[in-house]
Amino acid sequence: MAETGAIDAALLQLLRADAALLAVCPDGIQFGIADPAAQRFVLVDRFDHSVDLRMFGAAAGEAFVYLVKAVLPESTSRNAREAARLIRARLDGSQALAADGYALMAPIAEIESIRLVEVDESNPERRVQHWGGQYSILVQAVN
Amino acid sequence: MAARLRIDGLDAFKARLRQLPEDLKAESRGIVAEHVDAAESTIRAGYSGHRRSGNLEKGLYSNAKETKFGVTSTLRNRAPHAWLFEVGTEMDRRGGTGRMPAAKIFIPAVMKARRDMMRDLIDLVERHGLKVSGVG
Repeated sequence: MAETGAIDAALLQLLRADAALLAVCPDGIQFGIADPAAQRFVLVDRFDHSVDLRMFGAAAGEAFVYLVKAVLPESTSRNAREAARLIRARLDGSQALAADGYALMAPIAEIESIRLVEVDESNPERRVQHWGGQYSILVQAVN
Repeated sequence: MAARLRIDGLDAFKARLRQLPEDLKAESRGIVAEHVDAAESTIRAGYSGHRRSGNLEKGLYSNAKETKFGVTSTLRNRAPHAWLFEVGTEMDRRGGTGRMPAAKIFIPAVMKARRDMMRDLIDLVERHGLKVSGVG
């Protein structure tokens, strides 16, 4: 039986296979909230999941939206920009997602970009770059 | 031998087509407003569980516009930290509790409202005799 966690796992696996991305974000690909010790990482979180019930009286497909962003504690955006470029290269248009119980219905698509600089309220010189995007994944359960 | 095809009722049909956008706009106004209001209520309820200064709730507003053929409504949050709150923080912003995960309040609510609105708008145009297909 297909279950939505398979999509989460497949997305993490796809990103974790990117050596160039891990070189920029060596604390890994994390889901939801990063480990306390992680400093330079990619954060993945599921923003939305919907089931399309409009076709044939049963689920015609399922749509997921994920936040995927690099988080880097730096005052310049050079590495965050590179990480975001690698995330986009890895995901946007990809058909490589392999999730148990699901078939990918369309290439993964970036639907919105994210870029912001977080400034420490107690130390304005300390900044964290957040750079990435929201990605849409359309799948069909196959069992 | 000359042939002639006569179709009665075309003038009435063309007049009806010209009128259709106005009819649809009038009905869609209520549908759009209903779903924007629903999203706004859901977001406010979500923000209330994280209240500190109240600025997230104060910053939320909607803006409806009409053109000759359409109705649009935009839901925004003008609070400077709204986006950071939505997608999460790295730094401690809650007094010793560490980094904050993505709140996931605004975006999911808007996506659900958009889907529900689309469903109701499809029902609307189909009630007017049009067939909608290929909606992803």
